[in-house]
Amino acid sequence: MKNLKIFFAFVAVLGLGACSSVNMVENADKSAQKKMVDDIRVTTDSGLNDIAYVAGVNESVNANGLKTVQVELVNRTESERNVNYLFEWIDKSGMLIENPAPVWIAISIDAGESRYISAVAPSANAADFRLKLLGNVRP
Amino acid sequence: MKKIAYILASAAFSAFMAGCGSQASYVESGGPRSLISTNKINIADWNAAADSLVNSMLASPAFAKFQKPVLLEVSSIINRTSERIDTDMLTKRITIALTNSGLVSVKTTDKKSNEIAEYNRFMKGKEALPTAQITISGKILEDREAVGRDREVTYTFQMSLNSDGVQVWEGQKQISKQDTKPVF
Repeated sequence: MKNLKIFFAFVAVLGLGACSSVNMVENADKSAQKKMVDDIRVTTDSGLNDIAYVAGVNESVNANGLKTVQVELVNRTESERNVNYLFEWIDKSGMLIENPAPVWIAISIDAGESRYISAVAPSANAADFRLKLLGNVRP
Repeated sequence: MKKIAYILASAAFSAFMAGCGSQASYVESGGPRSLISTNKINIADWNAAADSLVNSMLASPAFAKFQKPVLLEVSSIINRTSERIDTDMLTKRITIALTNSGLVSVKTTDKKSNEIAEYNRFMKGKEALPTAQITISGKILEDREAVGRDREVTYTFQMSLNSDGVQVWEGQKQISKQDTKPVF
């Protein structure tokens, strides 16, 4: 019986250790003027939609006249997760800009954490973008 | 009887071990399925570092005061890691991105091209080849930490754009990886 209690206490400690999540504070009256982007979503992995939920997309044009996109991702699960993302840029004719080749970037998001990822258009010719998200598939 | 059982067990074990392997297959370079380790800077790390630094450079007003495209030259990238690396793994992706953005033209390192250009300029009575308006320099650092069986390595990629003796842009990307040593 005593052994059982010790076992449950051990499991509880392990469980609490795994459940640490991010608390956040920010100013309520926002000064920044975000230009939000209307988006179309194709979700094939609903589990991933919880790990990296796209909370919002906004864009701006930087000092060099290049479009910049920022996406807010939120981990709605109760544990830290790794996610891969890739930004693709499409030119004014609808063709994918392949030089330089888009690359997958791996990031880790803590439980409950909101994280911004961003990308700058590779040239002034870039008109549209596409963000791809993939869970941790590393062997 | 024992001998037969032994042979059968050996055959089963061999078959099991052979089944554990796999044939080579294609994966995306530095992609989500590429292998990573704490022993070296992997392709995924080079890609992530270059991508982050390029994003920061493309957003920088460092090129604003120059007429486009700005003439750029890659200066020295100092390797302060424990491994032998070709720094082109970092700089090439950056120069490709900057060139294709239309913001810069990169000075060639091809000797023949420079010789021909100098000869042509001399024959036409023109001045010597123009010098770079902006140079790229940087440093790659490594930091290792181990606590118990856990190991961590952090690579720091530092880079700056320099013009007329002044750093007009600086950027840094850190990549950390952890693994746990096996018990046996």
